[in-house]
Amino acid sequence: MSILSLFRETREVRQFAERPVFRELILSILEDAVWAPNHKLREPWRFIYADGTAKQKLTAAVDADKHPRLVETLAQAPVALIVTSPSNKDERIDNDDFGAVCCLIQNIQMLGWTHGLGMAWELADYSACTELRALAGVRDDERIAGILGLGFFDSLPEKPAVAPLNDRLEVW
Amino acid sequence: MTATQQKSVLSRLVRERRSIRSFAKRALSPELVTELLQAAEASALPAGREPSHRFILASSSEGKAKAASMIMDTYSEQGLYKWMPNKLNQLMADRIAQIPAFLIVIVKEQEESRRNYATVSAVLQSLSLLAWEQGIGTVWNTEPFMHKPSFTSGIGLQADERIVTILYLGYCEKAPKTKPRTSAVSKLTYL
Repeated sequence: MSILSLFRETREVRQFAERPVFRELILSILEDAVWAPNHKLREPWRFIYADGTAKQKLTAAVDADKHPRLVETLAQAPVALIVTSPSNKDERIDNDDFGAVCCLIQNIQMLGWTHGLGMAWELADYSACTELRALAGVRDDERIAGILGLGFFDSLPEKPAVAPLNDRLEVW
Repeated sequence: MTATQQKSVLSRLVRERRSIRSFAKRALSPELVTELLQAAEASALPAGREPSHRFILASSSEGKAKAASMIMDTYSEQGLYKWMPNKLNQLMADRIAQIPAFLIVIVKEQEESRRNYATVSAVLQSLSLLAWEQGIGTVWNTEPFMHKPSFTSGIGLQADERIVTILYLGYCEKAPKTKPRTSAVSKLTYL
């Protein structure tokens, strides 16, 4: 039997259990996840980890009117993981690196799922979130590719219906 | 497959997957690619958001010949390959045609276009892992030719669309050697 069913079952999680998540577990997931494809082996990612009071401080630093989803995830999830990718003046390198970091984030979601961890991937334009960026130590030459909420969950969220692929796939 | 098996199989797939650039001649069935792509989308599309990407899969010999000739057109459009003898041109066209399948990945450029780019990248990563389990290798191609007018008009790209990548797919004969990765520890800061 193949691993297809794992991919069919995995879904976004936005409601987390309070059960603590051990740092060692996240780290072991990351050690696998860094095998994501990336151009010229630049490994263009960096991780910022926050739980407990550090995570509370991050949450308080975000404008809840502008980024309600992000605040909800930061408040809900036991672990917040910020993943950055470098900004580059060369558009191709900039995109290649961002794409690689997104592949890595997908690895985190899939690997986490096999450990019973759910993930919410927050991504919007956070360039104006100066307080958050300063607290997390995100540099000016970095962009946030994702703010991930990670945690165990009690009930499996409903799987949203996926828009049919047929309408979006042309076969030559 | 039990949960424990899934855990070890996925960890192995993630660590063993390589970008593959030279493929076995064996043809790739578009039905199989479609099935894997469907599962990949199921794993990566966020809830409550309409997908803003689409795909063109070229895997038939006519489809690939069409894609290959469009790629060759962009080379001559750039004027870079004018000096090339026809023989060399033919060689390049043949090389492109030997790739078992192209997946042209197109995303809408609109508000939150970075979010859309992220989502489709995640779909492609899931696809690459599922493909690897089947002995199929992939590589992201992001060469500038795909943004040239002769290519974009050839595939019917709309004004608000952009090509993210052309993913090359095919069965692999042997995987390239492992290059070591930097441990996540040295890229991780605890707040």
